[in-house]
Amino acid sequence: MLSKDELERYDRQIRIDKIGIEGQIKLKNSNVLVIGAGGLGSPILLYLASAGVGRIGIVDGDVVSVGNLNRQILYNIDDIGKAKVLVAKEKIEKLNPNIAVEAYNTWLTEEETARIILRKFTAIIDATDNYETRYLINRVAVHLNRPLFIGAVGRFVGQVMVVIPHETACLNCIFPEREKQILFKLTEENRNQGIIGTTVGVTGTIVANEFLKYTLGIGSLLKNKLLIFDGLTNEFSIISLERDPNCKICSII
Amino acid sequence: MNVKVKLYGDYLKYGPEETYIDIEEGSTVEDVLNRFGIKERKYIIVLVNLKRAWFEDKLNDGDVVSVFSPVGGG
Ligand SMILES: [Zn+2]
Repeated sequence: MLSKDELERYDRQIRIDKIGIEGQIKLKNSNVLVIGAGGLGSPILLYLASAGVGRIGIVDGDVVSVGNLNRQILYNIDDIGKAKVLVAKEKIEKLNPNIAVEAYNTWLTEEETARIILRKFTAIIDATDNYETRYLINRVAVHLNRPLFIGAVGRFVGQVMVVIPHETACLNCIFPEREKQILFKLTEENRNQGIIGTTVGVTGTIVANEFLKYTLGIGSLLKNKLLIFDGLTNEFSIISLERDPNCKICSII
Repeated sequence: MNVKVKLYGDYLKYGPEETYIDIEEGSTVEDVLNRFGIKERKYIIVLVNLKRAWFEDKLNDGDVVSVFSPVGGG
């Protein structure tokens, strides 16, 4: 059931024939864990909260710094030095008091911690900024059989893919861990090459949209597909993918 | 034999989005990269028929080779 406030708040999206009251209730009953409350996490959290996703978890161990403000639109100068997850929780709860928000003020580096937190949610969003954490999340999400929505950015380029464990290609099928060292260097290089807010805005919004469609059961998802967005040329390319039958992560059940 | 090569993102500067090329029997992924003069290989991802492939992998007639690179920031 939706309250009077909820009916009024979501009126414009309930009018969409593919959503309706029924879809809105699906969103209300849904939950998701957003890992990373930075550039990608900002639009993802804002859009999922405003759309009425009933329960949202946020994981991040970082504090807000002035160098975040070119792209992390959840934060402003009053937030500098504060834990990102606490600021993010407060802001999205104010945006939508009808939802429940859980903040985990920690870095995800250990498998056991990741397992404990991820298990509490039925879907996972990877909005992190490094491949070490991305591999960990992919591994745990596949083992727990949780759908995983992945966003990644660099300069003007964004990439999005959706992993349905044991059904579609996982992160490791395409970027196998045997290249870990290379991808750690890539993380470094990515940081040095920089990032602009509009790229995380577009990319994070696509990630949030994938989760909403998944929850509503509408449209088509980036399953077995990698979307590449190039903000310089406005090109959206979709690369088809297939599972690696020998993938060390998702071929073992 | 013939293979289709698709370039994405940074690799579009080496050629058009989609090209059919004629290569010798027994050619590898690396031969195709050489044909396009692609030297940036540190972070390259190559898919053959939608699956992850490696430089030394041999190609077959009709294969589709996709070339791109990953980003990882958040
Ligand atoms: Zn896999």
